[in-house]
Amino acid sequence: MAGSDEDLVTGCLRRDSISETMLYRKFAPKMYGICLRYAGNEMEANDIMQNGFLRVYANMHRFRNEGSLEGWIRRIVINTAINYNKQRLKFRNEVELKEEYDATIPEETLSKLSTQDLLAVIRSLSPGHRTVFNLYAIEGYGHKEIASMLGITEGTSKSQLHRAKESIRRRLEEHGFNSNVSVK
Amino acid sequence: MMDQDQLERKFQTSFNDFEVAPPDYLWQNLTSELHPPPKQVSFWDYFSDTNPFSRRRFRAYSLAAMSFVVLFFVLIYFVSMNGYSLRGSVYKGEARLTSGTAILFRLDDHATPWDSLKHYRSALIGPSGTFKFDGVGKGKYLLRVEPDAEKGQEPAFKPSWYDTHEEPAESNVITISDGDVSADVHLVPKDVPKFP
Repeated sequence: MAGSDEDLVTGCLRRDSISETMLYRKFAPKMYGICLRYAGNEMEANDIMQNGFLRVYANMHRFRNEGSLEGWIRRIVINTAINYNKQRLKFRNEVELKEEYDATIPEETLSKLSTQDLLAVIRSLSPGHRTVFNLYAIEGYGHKEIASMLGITEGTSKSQLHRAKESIRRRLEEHGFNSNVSVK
Repeated sequence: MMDQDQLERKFQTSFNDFEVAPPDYLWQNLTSELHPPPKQVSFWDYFSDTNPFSRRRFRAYSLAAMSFVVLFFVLIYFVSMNGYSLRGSVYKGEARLTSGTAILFRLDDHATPWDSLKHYRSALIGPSGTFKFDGVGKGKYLLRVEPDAEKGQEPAFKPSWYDTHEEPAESNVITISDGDVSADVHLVPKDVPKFP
């Protein structure tokens, strides 16, 4: 029987195995999807997932009911993914690009791409590009927040995002679309 | 044509409700981490706990101390059961001595017994005028009785050796070999003025 989030938290704090199981079953599929986006492969995603949920259960006493439980778990999983990749996140303090390349992608191409295709595109990015792209484009963090989370400058965050999009565009070109590039 | 923001939106909407069932073994791993099986604690782990104030260590050492005390008393009991008893009464004249000390000396196998005396044990002489030594090992002994002063006065009888001698050289040797021994002592009176 599904319990409310509050019941799940209370049960997990009592180390009730049923509550722990129910919480996992409720949030694991979505969180695993997040892990797959941040990881380079499934093995890494599994490690992030396991470490993330261990931290969720270990820090359950810190959940203050100030936001949704899902959002709280999500932040923990994302932080776990960032920490997992930290050693491989090699950011160079790049100068913010003054020229922006506006690579447009036809709607037809995008509409043909499944979520699995998009996932493969994200995985093809380098760890740094992938992390910034995920945080900005999908999680909705701003560059200032991303810079704080990753220990980089805002300029670096912006340039990493730009390069991530360039990589995505190049990858999508392999699927047969032509881009119209203009320089602003 | 779409601009870059739409690229971001495409990814955002695609992954908004993106869910994938994780492998089953992940949950199995998690449960074993969350509820690990109880650690088998060996006997020596109780004593090797690095925290000197841990309950486990305290319990271990308390148990060990209690066991030692119990064993000690058990040992004393069995030691006292081994060996034989030497008991007797002490007389001062016709009456029994009511207060004093009986001292047992062990005789070594020397040529002159009186030169090879070693204090073995002492026993109090109670109001009944009796004394008792338990767990006395086999061997040869000399027994001496020292009367206490009575009512603040000097005792009327001398410290005496079994059975009624003033000097150890004259004392009878008590031999304990295969059974309990009874040895009564008659105290030697102090010199009484001789009447013509």
